[in-house]
Amino acid sequence: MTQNPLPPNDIRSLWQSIPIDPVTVSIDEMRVRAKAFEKKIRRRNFIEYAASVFVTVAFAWYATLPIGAWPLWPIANIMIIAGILVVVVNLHRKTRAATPPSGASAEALVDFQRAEFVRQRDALKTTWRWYIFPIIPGLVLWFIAMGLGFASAAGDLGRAFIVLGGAGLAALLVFAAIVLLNLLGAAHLQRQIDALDSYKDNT
Amino acid sequence: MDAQRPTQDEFYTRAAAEFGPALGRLARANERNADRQRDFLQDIHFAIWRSFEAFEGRASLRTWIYRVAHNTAATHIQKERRGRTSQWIDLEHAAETPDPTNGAEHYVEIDLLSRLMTFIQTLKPPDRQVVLLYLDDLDAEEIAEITGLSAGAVATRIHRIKALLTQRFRTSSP
Repeated sequence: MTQNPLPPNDIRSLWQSIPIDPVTVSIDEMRVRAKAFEKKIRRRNFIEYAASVFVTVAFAWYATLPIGAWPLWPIANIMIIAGILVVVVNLHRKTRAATPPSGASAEALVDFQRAEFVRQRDALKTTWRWYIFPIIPGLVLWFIAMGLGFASAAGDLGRAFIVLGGAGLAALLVFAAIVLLNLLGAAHLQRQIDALDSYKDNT
Repeated sequence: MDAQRPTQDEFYTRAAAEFGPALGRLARANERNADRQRDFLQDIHFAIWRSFEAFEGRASLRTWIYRVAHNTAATHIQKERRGRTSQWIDLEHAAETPDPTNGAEHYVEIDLLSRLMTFIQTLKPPDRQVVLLYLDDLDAEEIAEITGLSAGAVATRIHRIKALLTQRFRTSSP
């Protein structure tokens, strides 16, 4: 038995003869889906606002607690609230930018993919600036105020600072790990962008 | 507004009637799971319908539909296989990768179509789209317009695709 190459045109005919179950999506279904899509965006926005209200109320309540580090303690809590509000506004702006207008997906394939990778890379690369950094000053002050408060209550300044310094350091390490993972993700996306660029140039 | 110009819904109805089978093949080539394939195909239809809000006729209807459909597919496969992209190969390396079905005793009975599907699914997204567009009978100029590659780059890839298909897909005769 001999094996003969199948001409590419026969493979094309074979491909085009694939039996396909017809999928018909009615215009009404499309409208329902469009409404569901908009509802999903509204729900996402609502969750963001609800979370920011919850956090604001929680830290505002914390600020009223009688921790013996006045006025550092309320200032720290207000700074955290301000930082979280900045993060929420940034998040809202970024997610709005990530929702493509209806015609954006009709760009040429390589340009579309590249733009997507660039958008994702830039978001990851700048995470520390818009997601982490706004909270850090308030958080650092929060731990210092908490330490001072415990120290004045217990009369043991050294021990209070060791415990709270450790907790503060752990929180900063978690932030550092988030930043590092995001930077690694951005580097991976950059490699994909470079691969697309060389793909486009490679004739 | 031009009263003669088709509406978003009319454009979509025309697109679904004319390109329905091509969209179905695209969904099948990019999603193995039958249930997810159906959902994915509906996503493609939805993206096309939605895109017609912004269709001004600067590109041909065919180019527009293929672009939207393939961009939706590219987003789908990136999401589905995030972190597992190392399994994909490009056309250059596909020629060096052994065909897992070579040398099989029941070679003749192996379904050519499923082998073709497997071959397509191992390719990296831009190569995968070029192969799919080639199989759908689009010419180099149309493929270039849809993918954003130069006509020369597409011609080189079509040459490689033809060589690969000839190398991998054979019929047996006594």
